[in-house]
Amino acid sequence: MTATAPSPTAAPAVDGAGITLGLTLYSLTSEWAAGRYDLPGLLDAVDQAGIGPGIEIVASQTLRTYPYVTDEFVRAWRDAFDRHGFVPSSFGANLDMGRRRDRDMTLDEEYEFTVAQFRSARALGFPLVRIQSAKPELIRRLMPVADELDLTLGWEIHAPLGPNSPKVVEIRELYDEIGSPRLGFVADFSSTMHAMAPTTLRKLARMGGLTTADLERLQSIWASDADINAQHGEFVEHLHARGIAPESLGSFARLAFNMHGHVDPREWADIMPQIVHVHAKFYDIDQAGDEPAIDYPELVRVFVEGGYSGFFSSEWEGHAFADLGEADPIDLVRKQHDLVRRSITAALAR
Amino acid sequence: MATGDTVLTDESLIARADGLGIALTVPWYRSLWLSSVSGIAVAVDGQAVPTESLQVELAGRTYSVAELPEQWDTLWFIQDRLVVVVPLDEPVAEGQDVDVEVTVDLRLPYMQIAPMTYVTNHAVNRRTLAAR
Repeated sequence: MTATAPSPTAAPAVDGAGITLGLTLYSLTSEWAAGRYDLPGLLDAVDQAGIGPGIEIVASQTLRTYPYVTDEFVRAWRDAFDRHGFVPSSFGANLDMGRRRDRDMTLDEEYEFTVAQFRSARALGFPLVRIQSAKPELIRRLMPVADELDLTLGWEIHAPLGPNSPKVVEIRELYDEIGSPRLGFVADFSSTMHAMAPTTLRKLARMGGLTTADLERLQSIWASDADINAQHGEFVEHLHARGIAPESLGSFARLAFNMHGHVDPREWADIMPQIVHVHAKFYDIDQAGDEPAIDYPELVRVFVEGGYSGFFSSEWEGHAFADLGEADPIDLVRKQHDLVRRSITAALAR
Repeated sequence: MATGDTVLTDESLIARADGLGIALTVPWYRSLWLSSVSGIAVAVDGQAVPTESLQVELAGRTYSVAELPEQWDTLWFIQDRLVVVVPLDEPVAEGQDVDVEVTVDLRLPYMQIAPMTYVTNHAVNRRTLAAR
């Protein structure tokens, strides 16, 4: 598929600021994995709830023929988007370097695997691809393809990293060298949390039989500035000392550190002109309409004052810890959109 | 939950002439290559079933558990079920309750820690379910 589709634009959430709303279908992972919806049904449910207009996907979750798309899929997709007035926002690509067991992908294979996803993204009308590797040789090779397909590439800044983490600074330097407006960052709000999500702590306590003291230890390790391998190692050591098998926590003994970061929200301002998309990560909305571990009013203020123009793509990740049916992701996204609008209005009034 | 430990659903058990079918959901949030499955272990009524006797079916093809790591070009789509067939001397009747425990080990091919080393996931579900 090399056909191109125009990328429509979305209206601001609140007049006077450049933030537009939408969601990633990843928010409905549990319902999708359970087969509760096919793709047209999922898009219908989103539209009926009045959520939109931006639609983001994780390609490896949504596309049965990943990393490719079929002509038939593209036709059905475009029909559905026209019918609902949706706007493709971000195509979440993965780089499956460990697809083979005998060796990692070669650079040629990384390039081909990524280009396949670029072509799928363009066929589906996405203006932007979330990328996972910023290896300089790979990025340089991909630039002509991004030009040909008119795509923006956003390397995702996700917990535990922030805009000024050494790894991100290296990528910023690479971007400066290449000097293309097509290169930017996807800001994931998991980087800038003021606490671990209460839902994460509840789940870990349940899975491993962790006590309040264990959770306090976890949070103090989390709050340190050690890198993720060191944090994970220290927590595993603590679990062993307590006679708790780290495996009882599934992958979360490590992922707990990978899902929550504690960078200051104001650091986003340091790279604001390069932020091309936002994963408006959240785990819960409390009775007051706030996110208990992510300071939305402050984040929105930083983005409004920084002149950000683009999507806040709602990414509810509570499904990592909640069983199917325990929460209603669509209702939660609606409440989160209210929180974002309220926060924009407050930021504009300052 | 979807990201970590959902292997069995209410509809997972299938009565079959050749034994018991167990339909597995990917214990992750995205589709994975079959090569991402490092291992599958099954216990019925608390008794471990020898891994060599298990057959794994996806999209009309059948594999042994040991063959899965070679299937790097076959996608286990997140909405599709991998059916593990457990040979049993006495077939399970429809509606019969069976206590099954399934363990799935994954190697997540996009989460590289070091060359040839990736984040893993270890998912275990034990449930008593009625065969369909």
